[in-house]
Amino acid sequence: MDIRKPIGLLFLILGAILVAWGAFGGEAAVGKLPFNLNLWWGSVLLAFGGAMTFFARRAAKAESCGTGCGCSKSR
Amino acid sequence: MLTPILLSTGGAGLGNGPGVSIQLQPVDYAILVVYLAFVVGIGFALQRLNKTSEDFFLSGRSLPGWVTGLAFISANLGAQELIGMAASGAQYGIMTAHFYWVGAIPAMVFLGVFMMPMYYGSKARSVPEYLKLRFDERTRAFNSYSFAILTISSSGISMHVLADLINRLLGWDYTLCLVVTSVIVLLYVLKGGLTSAMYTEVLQFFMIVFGIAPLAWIAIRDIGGWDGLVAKLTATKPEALHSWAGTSGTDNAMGVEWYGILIGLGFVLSFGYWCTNFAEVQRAMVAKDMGAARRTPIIGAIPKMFFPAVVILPGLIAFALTGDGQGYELPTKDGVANYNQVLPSMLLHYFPSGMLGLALTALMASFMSGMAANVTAFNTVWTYDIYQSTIGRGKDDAHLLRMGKYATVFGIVASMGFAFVAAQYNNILSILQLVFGFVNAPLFATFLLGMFSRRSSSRGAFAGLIVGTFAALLYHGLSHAAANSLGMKGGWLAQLLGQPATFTLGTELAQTFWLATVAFSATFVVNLAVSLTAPREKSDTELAGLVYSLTPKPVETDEPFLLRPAVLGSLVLAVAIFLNWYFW
Repeated sequence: MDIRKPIGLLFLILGAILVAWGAFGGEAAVGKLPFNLNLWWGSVLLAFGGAMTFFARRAAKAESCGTGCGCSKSR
Repeated sequence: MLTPILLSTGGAGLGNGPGVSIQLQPVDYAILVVYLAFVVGIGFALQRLNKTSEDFFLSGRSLPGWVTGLAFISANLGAQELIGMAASGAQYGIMTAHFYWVGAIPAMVFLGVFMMPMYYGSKARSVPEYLKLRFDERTRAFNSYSFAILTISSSGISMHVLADLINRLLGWDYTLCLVVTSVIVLLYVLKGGLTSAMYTEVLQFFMIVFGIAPLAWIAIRDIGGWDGLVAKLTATKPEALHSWAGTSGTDNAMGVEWYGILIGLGFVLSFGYWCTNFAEVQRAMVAKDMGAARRTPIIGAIPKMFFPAVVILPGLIAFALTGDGQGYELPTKDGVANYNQVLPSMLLHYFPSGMLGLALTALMASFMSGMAANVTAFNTVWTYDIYQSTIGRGKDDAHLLRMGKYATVFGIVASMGFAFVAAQYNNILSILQLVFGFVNAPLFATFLLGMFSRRSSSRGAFAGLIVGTFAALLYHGLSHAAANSLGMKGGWLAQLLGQPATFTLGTELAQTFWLATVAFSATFVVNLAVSLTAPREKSDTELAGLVYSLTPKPVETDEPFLLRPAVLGSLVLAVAIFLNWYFW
């Protein structure tokens, strides 16, 4: 198993939750801050999750397990 | 372990008053639940890969360097570290960074460049097993029993810290917290073995960074940038901005001179922890090849170097913000600042719900990664070094795998038991640190000689361990921190003899540093003296692969230049030196 896949998926889900909460959560989602942190940081998580998923997919497509790949030849 | 030392000097434990409490929204719970589902899911997904004991205990030695490197850091990144380092940042300032730039990075680079060739090359399955190969069975026994006991107790203490924190913050039941988190760790370790522990550690690493890092960013923005922070602190507590400037004498927050910091923390304690603690070294031992194994601690050192920005900085800002009457104030208990609640109170002050759930999940993640690391190291040492070398000789692999699973359950249950003990007795943490100091420094001297001198013999090693441990006891009996009266915390021997303590030190931290140094030196001298006066026990051929000078140097030329352990290690060290200089 390539660990980047579950990491990517987890952060895509968490990012989506935060973005949705930031967009529709009203005042509770903004709190005391002068800007909408949930929306911003949620987008960062989405981007990170997306990047992890992209790299995992690319590695799976190449199907060769060189260095930097999360799976192993023996598996 | 390095962090608890700090917690104890950081004043009280967490057990201080109600202070901060947090109201969670459904969105926060949703984040927590998604995360928990993922870690358990990883365990189940890896279940089918765990067929042999090699798979369960050693991940089949198949993991790439970036996975083992991040797991290496995550294994040490317990909830105590996050809470303790923020607390210490508020109390002592940038000097806290010594625990990273002096007390971690050099040792990690040394482990990767010089020690991994023997650990990995000897195909030892554990750190105690290396001692068995290099010396003999009794040296291994000394290491495996002390490690097993200390690992379970420190895992129990970190469980206590987390359950206590959650109890205070969220009002959840203490016992329920312990049981739920333990069951989750138990599930994914039992199902997926070391692989799932390490995979979840990588996931937890990102969880911790993404959950806590925004706090430093928001807080520094709030105080008017770095310049704003410097301006505020220069007016109130200028020494908090320096790591070395006050160390020409003992008149600084740590109460130690620069050479005490370098020798005690930077050499003996830090090398003793990072280079011989199996919960750490295990992560590097299971990498897929020698290059990945050697890069493991060095890759881990890269994020580790910048962790002060994530954990110490919020504490420092919390201190600077206090007293300007514009919002944030340090939490107090009976009019005294309660530093251990700095991190939760800052999170609560700045984060809206949603982000709060993410940060809280990060705290949970840090706790689970530390606990899983301890448990996976314990089950390996128990099965290979204690069980297989005594009553379980000649048992087949399926039997060992089963034994490993029993040991996992036992380890978690025993940690829970110890958590309840820790909840009962306040000073159990300081006693435990003491035992760490007694055991770790002599062990490190033994490893150092074992790996780098072919003359060090098993007789010398054992004599050194015994004498070193007694030297530690003796020093402890004769020394005390100025603020402590003679007794349990030092000076008990002087008290028995009815005399004043021979050594009086500024702080408990200084006492810990010098105690480790004394124990290390005694072990080193006795080990060498005994080894050199007796005829050699093992020939050069027997020691090949176990001693540095008799081990073929790993081939690095087929690796990209920047990824060669010595090159990467030198770069990391250079950055660490720069950071020390910049925050002088």
